[in-house]
Amino acid sequence: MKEYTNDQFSVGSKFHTKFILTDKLAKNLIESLSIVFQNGKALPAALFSTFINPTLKALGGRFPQGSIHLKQTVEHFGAPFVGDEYEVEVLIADKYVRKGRDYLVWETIFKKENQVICRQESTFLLSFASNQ
Amino acid sequence: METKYVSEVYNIPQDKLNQFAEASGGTGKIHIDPEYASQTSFGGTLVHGVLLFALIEKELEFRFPDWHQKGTLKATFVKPVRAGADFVICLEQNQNIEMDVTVICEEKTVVSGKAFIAK
Repeated sequence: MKEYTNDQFSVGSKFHTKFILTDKLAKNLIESLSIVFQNGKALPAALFSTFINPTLKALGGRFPQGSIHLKQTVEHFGAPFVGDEYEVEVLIADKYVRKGRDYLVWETIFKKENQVICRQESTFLLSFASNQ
Repeated sequence: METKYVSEVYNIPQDKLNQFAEASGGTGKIHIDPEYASQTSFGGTLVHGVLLFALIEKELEFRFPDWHQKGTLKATFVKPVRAGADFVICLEQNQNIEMDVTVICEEKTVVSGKAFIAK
């Protein structure tokens, strides 16, 4: 899979994909997080934070090896359910270089039937922990 | 919620990291390749930031039934958490409507943040 570089992104550019929360994916994520939940059919909202694949798919690649997660914000407006189909929008919110290092900030919005269900902002330091 | 809450001790071993990586798509070598990670400045594989974040949310969601509709969490990953390291999640009501959120590993703050429920 192609690795991103900061050069390929312009601040303000948007990327889109669709994403279905399958029963298998929900079970795998819940099991990997050891979450026990008792909220009817609603799944834990925490799952939204773990939906990495849709962002990668929207951006068309993967982060360079050794990239480090620095900051994360999430706002919830509804619970996820098995079978939900989300429109995913990834906005490049900022990118900058500090001390020769590339930083990338993006916002991810999950919409269900045109309603925003979850909004996230992520800040990554690219290629920090490269092999020495 | 009581003024201050400290979670059970969490520990994410390598096999659990691998399981999470496969399920989430977070398959960076720094998380799943011990040989690669041992040659970086971190000296070993790291727990995903989003995994830590999701565990914080799990604690918040357990205590606040409206979390999935109105919850907001902002966190900074201050230091890395190595695979197999013990850590706890602390939630503390501050003087505002927010809660202070910290993750403590080896007596150091590794995640620092704020959480609140919108009115």
